Amino acid sequence: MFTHVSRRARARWLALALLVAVAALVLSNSAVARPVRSATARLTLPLQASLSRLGNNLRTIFSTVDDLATLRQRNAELEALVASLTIENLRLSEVEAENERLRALLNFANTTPSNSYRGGQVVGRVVSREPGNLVEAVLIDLGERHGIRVGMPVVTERGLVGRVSEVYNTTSRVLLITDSDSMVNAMLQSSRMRGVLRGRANQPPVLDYLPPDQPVAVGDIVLTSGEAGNFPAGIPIGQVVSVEQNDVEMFQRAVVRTTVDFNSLENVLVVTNFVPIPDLPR
Amino acid sequence: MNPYLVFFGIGLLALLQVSLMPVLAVRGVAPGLVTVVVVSWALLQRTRSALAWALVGGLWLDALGSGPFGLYTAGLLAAAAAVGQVASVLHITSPLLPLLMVAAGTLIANLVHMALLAVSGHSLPPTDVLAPLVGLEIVINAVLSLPLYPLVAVLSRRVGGERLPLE
Repeated sequence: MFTHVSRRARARWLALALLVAVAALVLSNSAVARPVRSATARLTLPLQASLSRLGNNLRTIFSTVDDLATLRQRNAELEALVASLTIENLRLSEVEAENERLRALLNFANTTPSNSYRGGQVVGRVVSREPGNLVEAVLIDLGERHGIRVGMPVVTERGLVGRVSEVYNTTSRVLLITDSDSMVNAMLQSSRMRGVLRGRANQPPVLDYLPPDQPVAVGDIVLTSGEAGNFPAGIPIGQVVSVEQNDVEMFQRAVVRTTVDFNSLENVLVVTNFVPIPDLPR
Repeated sequence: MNPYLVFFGIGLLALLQVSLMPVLAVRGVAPGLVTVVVVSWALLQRTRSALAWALVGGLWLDALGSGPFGLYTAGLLAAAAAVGQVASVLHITSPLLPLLMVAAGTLIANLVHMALLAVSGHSLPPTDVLAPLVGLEIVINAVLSLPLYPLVAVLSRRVGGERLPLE
């Protein structure tokens, strides 16, 4: 039955609701929020994983329908690409063989950071994403019990994904490199020029603080530099798609297209034997 | 309405928000399922139970998300309170009203999110966020309200007016 609500009762409810919201915000930095999120993740993980699988299947169907329209053209392009990559592969095999010999000579084959993180990886599934569009993070089905720790780098076979920002018992939160709060020390592969890759909400990240007097080419490959000890060196991040410089700013910056497609992220690798240096900015 | 049904019903919507809605993302912007439902409920039921729905939905989203805890609760509460208040003084039955209210609710919720994220130290330049992200989400949510609002209206008619525990 319809009942008229008094202004007082409405105000009481509003006050109570605001009180809860403020209390939640105040407690968010304390140890209270973590158990709540950990318990929620543990209780809802099976359902989240099922819904996520359903979502991935839907995505595959959507992309298949989308692909059919351009399949023939793509096929021709890919055949041409395979031909050129075959030649490139032969050339790289030669380079790799030469590289192996040089490494043996210098006796540092197993001491470089780019080799040391191999083998210490565990595969996780992305089970959910952020409820809102302003924060870019994903939840994966690996947690404390799988040896995951805060700060561990997360990658796919295509490149850098982000770093573990929160760890629960059976799940972990990964802050993506595209999040506006994310910063990664990076470098350009060809010139070895160093900069900081900053995420931007819903836009391609930028490689910032590049020296203004050195040329940056569109198409340059961007890799992690390993500086500051947050990520192993040499992980691919993306490719420069445009370069921005104006008279006011002291540095130039490059817009980077990431090698990882964050919209269709399903499985990730957590680099478990890389220990980031603590208490450093991201 | 049975409070357990509200709790688990909105909980299911929150789970759909974090798992299925990203599949429907347009240019990387996912629809705000919970926002659309809560704002629709506020429009239909005024501030009455809409605040309770906003509170439950917000806490679910905060428990499933990673921002400052209370971020989504505060955003949804602000949106539900504002839309409920406007709806209680407006006596318009235009079919465009749900669209406009969902758009307004989405904008309010996002402004609250931006403010709270800025307070908690996140760097979110408004120029990077407002037009490309919030603007697009407003459009997406308004479109989503076209099929969702009639469903919420059916539920609202079945439930009728509600008395809250504190009244």
